[in-house]
Amino acid sequence: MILVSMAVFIIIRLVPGDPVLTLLGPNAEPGMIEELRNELGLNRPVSTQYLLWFFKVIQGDLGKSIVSGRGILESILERIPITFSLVFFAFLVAVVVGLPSGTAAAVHQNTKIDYLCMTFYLLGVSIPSFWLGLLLLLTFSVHLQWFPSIGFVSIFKDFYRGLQYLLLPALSLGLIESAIVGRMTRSSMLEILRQEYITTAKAKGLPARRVIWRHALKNAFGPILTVIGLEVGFLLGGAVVTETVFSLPGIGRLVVFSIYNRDYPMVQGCILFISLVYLTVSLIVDLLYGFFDPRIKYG
Amino acid sequence: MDSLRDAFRRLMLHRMTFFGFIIVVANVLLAIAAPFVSPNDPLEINLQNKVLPPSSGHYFGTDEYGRDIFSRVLHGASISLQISATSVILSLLIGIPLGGLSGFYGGFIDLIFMRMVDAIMSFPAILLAIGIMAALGPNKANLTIALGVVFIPRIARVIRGSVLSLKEKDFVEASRAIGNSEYRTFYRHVLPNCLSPIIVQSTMLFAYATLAEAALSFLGLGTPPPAPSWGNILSDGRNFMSDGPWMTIFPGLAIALAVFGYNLFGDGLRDLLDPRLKE
Repeated sequence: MILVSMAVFIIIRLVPGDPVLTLLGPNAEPGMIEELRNELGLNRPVSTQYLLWFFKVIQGDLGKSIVSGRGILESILERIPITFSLVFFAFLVAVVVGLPSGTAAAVHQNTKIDYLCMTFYLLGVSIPSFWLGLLLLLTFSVHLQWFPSIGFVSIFKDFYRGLQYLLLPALSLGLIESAIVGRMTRSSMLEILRQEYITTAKAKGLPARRVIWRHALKNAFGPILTVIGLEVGFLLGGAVVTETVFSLPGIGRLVVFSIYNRDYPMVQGCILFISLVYLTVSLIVDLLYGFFDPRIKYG
Repeated sequence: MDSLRDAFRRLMLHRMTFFGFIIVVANVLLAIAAPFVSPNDPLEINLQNKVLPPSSGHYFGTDEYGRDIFSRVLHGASISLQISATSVILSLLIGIPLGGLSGFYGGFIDLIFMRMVDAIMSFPAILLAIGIMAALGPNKANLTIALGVVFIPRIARVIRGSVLSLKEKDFVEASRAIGNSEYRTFYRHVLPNCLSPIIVQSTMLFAYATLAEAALSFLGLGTPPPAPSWGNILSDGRNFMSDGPWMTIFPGLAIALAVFGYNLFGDGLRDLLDPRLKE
């Protein structure tokens, strides 16, 4: 966590030129420059700047936007439900499409079903999610007009209307990710299905469905879980692009908008926030491992 | 080296990988030949021809400034290839020594390098690239650096892993026993044996670089307009989705086809070079 905060700090300090000059413009008076530099703490050594910033961050103070003057954490918290709901639905799509299709492909290895799934996965990892988003928008919003193409309603205010705005973005992000989940599920299941205890279970006369769900999938879940954990990172990153395509007012849109406005503290805050969410999810996934694989014990 | 030649021979026999190889080669050839074969100047504005649908004069139609989209997509292949290739090469130049030294010497160097790698890997990849581009400003050189930085830890990890497994092997011990220096042992005996994972990982990163370049340019954080990068063409087309869907369809198809080729080729190479999967 400390390393991540350092990395975020260093990246933003890479900004060429003086942020104060960028802020005040080329015609600023020297007195004003000095004053702002003092105010922002930029005249202190970099290590002190980092420590001051870090202690503020762990107290939940991410600073203020230099464009709107609003608190950064406040702006992030306001937009985070939108990004989370997008990531949640995309995740749902990825798992609901990826897990069963990957299992089916493994069970019916080298049949038409398998080839169909494999082609879908290969296309999924090759198509840019934002292009799929544009195509969905083109087909379902512009031509068929089944979904609204502009505006936004939060699902927390009006669930059904909110869902109409979220469905296409979630599909465009989720379908791409389902290819990765599906591929991992297939290869992980293939390995497990070759094990002797699966043959034993079949030999005992257990129905195929029970063998697959109770015996194979539970054991194949470890590697799948790793991929699902990584997926959340891809989804959070992908949300930045998807939110821009569909004009969703989430945190990703805020990052891009702040970059256009050279609002560096805001960019810094958003990236740190998203990365911490990602780290937390990775930690939860690691802990869940023990649940699915009793061989792993945490001492 | 013999294993590589062997792999190449089997590549020709493996249909899907060969298909991927053909797409990759076609993409590279088109990217190099773009200035000679494209029918129009990709930057030439002709307002009389604006937003024309695909026809025999303009295979992929024209955009809002009357620029020929076919020519722009062809030149886009060249930009995409330049950035993908240089960023992957950059990551190899830094990642290989980093991962190699880390794995070979272990100890304190390993600890420091790997913590750096962990720090970079704890960002979602595209977000890190966005952050670096925000700091450095959008242009091709910075985009290459940003993607290179994102890729370095991925290369370093792969190299470290294979060096760790190789350094216990008898031939490494033998090299030391006949009096070769550590440097020579590493450079002449360990590193050449890491070649297959390096090749496989590079192909995968190539596919990712192509996607990331397009995404960043689409966001306005990559190759600056009016350069005909695939992401820029898509970004222009976004405002003309009902009047000119071809502006959205063709550049996206080009990206998907190129990445499809890299993935197909990369998957096949992995199967061919992975000793565990050999029959």
